[in-house]
Parts: sequence; structure tokens; C-alpha cells
Amino acid sequence: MDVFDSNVWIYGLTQSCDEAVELVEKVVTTPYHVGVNAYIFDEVMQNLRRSERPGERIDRIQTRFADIVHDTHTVHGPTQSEISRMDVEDRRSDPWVGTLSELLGVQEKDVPIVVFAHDCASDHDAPPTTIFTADQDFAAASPGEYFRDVDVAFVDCSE
Amino acid sequence: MSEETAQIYRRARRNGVSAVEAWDELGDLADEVDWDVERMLSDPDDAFSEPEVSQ
Repeated sequence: MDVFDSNVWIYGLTQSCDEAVELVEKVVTTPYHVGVNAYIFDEVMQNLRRSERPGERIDRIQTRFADIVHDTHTVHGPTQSEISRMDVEDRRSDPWVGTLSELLGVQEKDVPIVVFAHDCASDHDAPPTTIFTADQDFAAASPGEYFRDVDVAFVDCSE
Repeated sequence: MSEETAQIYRRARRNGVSAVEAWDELGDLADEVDWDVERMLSDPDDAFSEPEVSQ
């Protein structure tokens, strides 16, 4: 099972980066297993909310993202209660996040994604998890040094 | 977490829209809207913040 950083979801949902569009389309049209936890889900929602486009359009794109997460059987999404309990800022400010951030060489906001990817790969005989991100710095980090079952792949949305 | 996020997910669980339908509509939306992705992905504390108005 793979994991998309919120930026890949954003680029894909807005269809503003070909590589990200291909990834999200693969999720919708093929049995491609992707994990979305409450942290990533809420981060995508918060990012979409920052848009200055009309609120009705933002509501539509948010709802369609939620539809994809909920309706796709190969998307391993969060439960309603996990979403209700999630506080992105609280999660980022946990003391263990700062420690892991230094250890893994990733930003604090990315630590919960790496830990989630490790959890995805730890299930039964699951294959390694690849995190797809459009953040070059995150992609350059090597969490695999500590989490051997986690890879990071760069999605080039720089054009 | 904002209550808005929880409500949207709750709505998705009830509205019966398939992922394929959702994906098609996202294509229509992308044709209609020039999304400000750079703003969405910026740090809200840094870029795009409103300049302070001196009193």
C-alpha cells in the first residue's frame, strides 16, 4: 500500500500536474491500494480551504475528494471518529514529532506521514510503502535508514 | 480538526457519489476553475499573508 503526501492529492484533485493526475486516476480506476489517514485527509481539506476561489467551488472539490476516499475500496481511509478526533496542529506539536523530525531529516509536518507509511507496511506481509510527494526536500530525505519498509518518491510538479 | 472536515466526510458517506463520478466532476471543475494551488500549498504564516496596516 502506498501513501500520497497531501500536495500530491492537491495537484491531482485540481488536475494541475500530470504526474499527480496519473496517480489519483490510478487510484480511482485500478485496484491500487493507497492509505489515507485522518492527518492526511484533514491536511488536504485545510489546504483546499486556503484557496481564494469561490466557496461553492472549494466545497465541491472537498466533497469530491471525500467521495473518492470513501467510495474507493482500495483506498484505506480514516473512520469518521478518527477524523473527528484529528487535530493537525496538535499532532505536529507532539514532542516525539520534533525528535523524529531531527532523526529522519524531514519537516515536522511530514513526520506523521512517515509514521503512517511505516504502519501501512507493517501490516501482515505487506510490501514496502512508497510515499509520493511533490516536496523535493521531503523526497530527498531517507527515512528508509530507520524505517526500512518506507521509500519516498518525488512527483515532479515544478512545471 | 475543523467540524467542517468531519461534516464533509459524513456527507460523502451518505451521498452515494461513486469515485468515478467524483473524478469526472473534478475534471469538469478543473476546466471551470484556475485553481490557486501555490496559495493552497503555501505556509499560511509566510507567503500570501496580508500586509499589516499601520495605525
